[in-house]
Amino acid sequence: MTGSPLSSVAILGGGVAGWMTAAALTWVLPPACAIRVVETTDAAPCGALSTLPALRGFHGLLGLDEAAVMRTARGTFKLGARYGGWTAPDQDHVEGFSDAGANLDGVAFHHHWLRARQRGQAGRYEDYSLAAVAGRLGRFTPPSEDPRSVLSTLSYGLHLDAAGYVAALRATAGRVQARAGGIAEVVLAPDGVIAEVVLADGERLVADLFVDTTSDGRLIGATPDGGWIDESTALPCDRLAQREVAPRANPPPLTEFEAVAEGWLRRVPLRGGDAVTLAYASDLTPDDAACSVLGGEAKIVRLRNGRRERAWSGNCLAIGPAASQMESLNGDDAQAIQSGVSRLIALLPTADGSPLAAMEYNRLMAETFDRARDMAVLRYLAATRIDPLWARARRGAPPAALAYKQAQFESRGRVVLYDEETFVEGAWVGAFLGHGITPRRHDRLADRLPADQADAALARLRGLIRQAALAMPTHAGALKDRS
Amino acid sequence: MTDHAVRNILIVGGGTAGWMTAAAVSAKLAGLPIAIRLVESAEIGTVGVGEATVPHIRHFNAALGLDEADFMRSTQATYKLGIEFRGWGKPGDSYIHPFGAYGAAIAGVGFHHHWLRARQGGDATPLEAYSLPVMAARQGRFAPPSPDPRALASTYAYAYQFDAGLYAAYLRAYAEARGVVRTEGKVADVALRGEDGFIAAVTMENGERIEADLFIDCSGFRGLLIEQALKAGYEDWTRWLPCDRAAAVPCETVEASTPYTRCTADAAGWRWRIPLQHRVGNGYVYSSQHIGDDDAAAALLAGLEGKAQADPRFLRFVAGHRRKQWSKNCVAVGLASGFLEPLESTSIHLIQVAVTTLLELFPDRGCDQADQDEYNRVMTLEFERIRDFLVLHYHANQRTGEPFWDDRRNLPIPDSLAYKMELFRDRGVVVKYKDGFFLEPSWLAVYLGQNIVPRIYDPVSDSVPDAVLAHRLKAIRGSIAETVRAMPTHDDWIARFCAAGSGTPARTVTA
Repeated sequence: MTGSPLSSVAILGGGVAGWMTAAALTWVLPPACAIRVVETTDAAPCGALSTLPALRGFHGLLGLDEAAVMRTARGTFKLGARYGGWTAPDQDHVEGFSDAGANLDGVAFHHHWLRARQRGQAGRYEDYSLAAVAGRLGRFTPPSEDPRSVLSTLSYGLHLDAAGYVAALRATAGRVQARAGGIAEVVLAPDGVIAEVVLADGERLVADLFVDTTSDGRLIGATPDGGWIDESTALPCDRLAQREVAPRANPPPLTEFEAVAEGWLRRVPLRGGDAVTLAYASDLTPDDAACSVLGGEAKIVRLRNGRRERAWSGNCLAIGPAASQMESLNGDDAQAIQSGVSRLIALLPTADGSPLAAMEYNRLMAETFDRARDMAVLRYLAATRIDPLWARARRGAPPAALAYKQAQFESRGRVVLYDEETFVEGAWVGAFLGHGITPRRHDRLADRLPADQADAALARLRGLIRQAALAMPTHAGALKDRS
Repeated sequence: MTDHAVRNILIVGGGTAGWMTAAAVSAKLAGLPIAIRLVESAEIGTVGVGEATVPHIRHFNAALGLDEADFMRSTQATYKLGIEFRGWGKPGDSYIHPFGAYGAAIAGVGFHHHWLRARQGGDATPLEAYSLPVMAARQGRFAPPSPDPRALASTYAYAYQFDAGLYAAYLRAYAEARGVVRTEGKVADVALRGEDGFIAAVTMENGERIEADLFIDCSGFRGLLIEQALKAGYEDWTRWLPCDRAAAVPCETVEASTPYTRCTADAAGWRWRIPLQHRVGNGYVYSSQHIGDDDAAAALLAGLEGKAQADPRFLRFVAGHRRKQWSKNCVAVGLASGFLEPLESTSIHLIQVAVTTLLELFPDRGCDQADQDEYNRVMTLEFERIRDFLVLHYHANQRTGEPFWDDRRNLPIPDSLAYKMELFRDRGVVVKYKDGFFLEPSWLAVYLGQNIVPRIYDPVSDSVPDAVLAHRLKAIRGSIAETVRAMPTHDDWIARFCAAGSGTPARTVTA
């Protein structure tokens, strides 16, 4: 290699973003490379994380034991998310972590469902997703590795307490030197890179790479490339009120999202309590009103939907809220951090900087954010509430990529997937149909299967899935086994 | 089912595109009340240049339920493990672009980074020593991949080299058996509907008028329906891919057939060599700005290994694609939709993608604008990504002093390709997209095969100690060499499995 390897990395901020980065870097950076974390108070972890199955892959790479993580972070299982009050006050749907149905006769399942639905023979789309059915029934079992078993269609994510999760990550990052501190000044060199970061107590930090995991991007915002692309028109909430309430006896293995006048309410089951969050717009709902929606004192967190134009500039790379923020309406907490960390590792710079790697990183992260944003925006656009916040969210035109994707789905159930999608085809189908966006026609090739045969196949599948779900232990029981 | 369902389809033009379309459509729509007709004229020759394929053709054949041995016997097919490129970097260079990856990732880092590291440390082993299909191809050996995903022998794919005319005939029999009605004759006129400009019918020279709900234009370069009737427009890529002619000639087989296609750089373009069971297909793709037809034909004939079996045939084309490959109720497939020179054997692949995408978006009689938009988006992306890969071959040359090649090296390239090349040169990163046919191993083969060496390798490679890396590299080389030694020769395998039957000249089988 020409170009010397990184000899020092300084991670400013900490929290989930900082410690996921630190834990992963200990695996790939040579022992000679110093890794430091300076924990700032603004980045301290709070609330709960509702995560996608992909996070478990990250744990696998880090050698993190899932049971241990769940113990430390009061973790529960997540088979998907339930959205209530979105299409109508008394209606809800579940988007589960298993693809609905199965290809029949080489045609994607949702076309068969659409066809059967015209004859009133289909039931709900989610009735064909084992994860969704088990989730509603409050049941859980890990996926089977036998591809012939219906249990092999399952996958699951985790509900985690953020502070506990940070503790678990920290425990694996043994060689990292951590300290608490405040950032007094970010000193730029004449060429715009960070020369040093001065801490409140006077310590001057110098590093080959600075990772900004602060809550507001103190470092990246100081660089010449640190502009912010605002997304608050399509995603109207700018505050989160967080509180913990008493646990339920058998909480469903689901994150629950309820559309309410002020915004949306999220309930995440943790061991020992449910973390509830209200997302709202501060100009429409005062903080104390938000607290009373939650029924008591709550921690208020500011939110600024959007992303950096460039998350990596010179020797400074932002991960987490410093790089992008988005209402966590998709249940994809920590996903943006995970993809940021993975791509940093795939494009690891040398000590003298790697502008081309940064350019590629910024392209990938921008695409990733925009595609996940489309999913969140879709949920607002498809909602039927008419309160001021909801009407406001529908005022702007949808992003072009989402408009095209929705038009394609509405036309004939086609799911367009672009580069760097977080959500796979099945997730988009579940979201579209769940939110009441239905294609005008189904794939003609589905008509090859005689209608009575198709109906019988669908009924059999529904029965099989329900039976499999009923045979699972309760979520509470599965958690007891795991602890 | 709605009242707007398509009831009949007319395919205009036979050839490889027409009959691949007819076969796939008749298979996939079986059971639906849709009549399929194909009109073609024996007087209009088919092009049939695309005799070499890529591994996806196997999915296409499998979806039709074709028996592989029968198909190979009937089309004089041989196996293909990759393409050899001669003289594309510097004159005298040779590399094979294989259908398979090099080595395997170590410590989560792509193999080529470790190879680059070893190379910087003085290990001169060429990259191809870590490719099973290249090593097998170099030794003229072939065996189908192992179905066991843990086996080294499962890590490659293969395609075919076949007689496209025979393939079309084979698929014609298949399609006709599934109810496709063929009509002999030339189209004299295309009638458009006044209200929406859709095609209403075609009129044949004998006066017969054929109506259809959906028309598929497989009429070749001229685009009888899509261009002449519907004025779809053409996106011209000559500035990046200036070759506009080809001369083609078959010759006798004189040596053991190779399980790979060969593309040899020449003064004003490149020559192909495609070994079939009964003959070798040859051609010269060239730029008419840089060489005349006679000189090109002479160069082609001079390079033949065996006796020419015919006079060279000449073809003309313009690199690019129709702006709308689907317009109103007409979808263009094959050369009617666009042309990319067969440097990477993508002609038949593009037909396959077109037919597959059409079936995925199979329309109503109204042909929703949404369906057309999506089809055109997907196909344009497919063409553009292949274009960039082809331009890379031309651009990354070190043939200084030859006017054609100096231009290719010095003239601008598409921005999308420039970006990819910059990233690779800087740190060996292959830019990935979701869509696009050529994946990382293909880009690596061409970049490294044409002497583009990254400035640095992935620093994470250094987490693997030197001795461990050396041991792993040696082990991979060793098991590849061992696996290749156990493979039969290409000719042996063909003789055993799929030799064309009586009526074709007997061939010498080498041991």
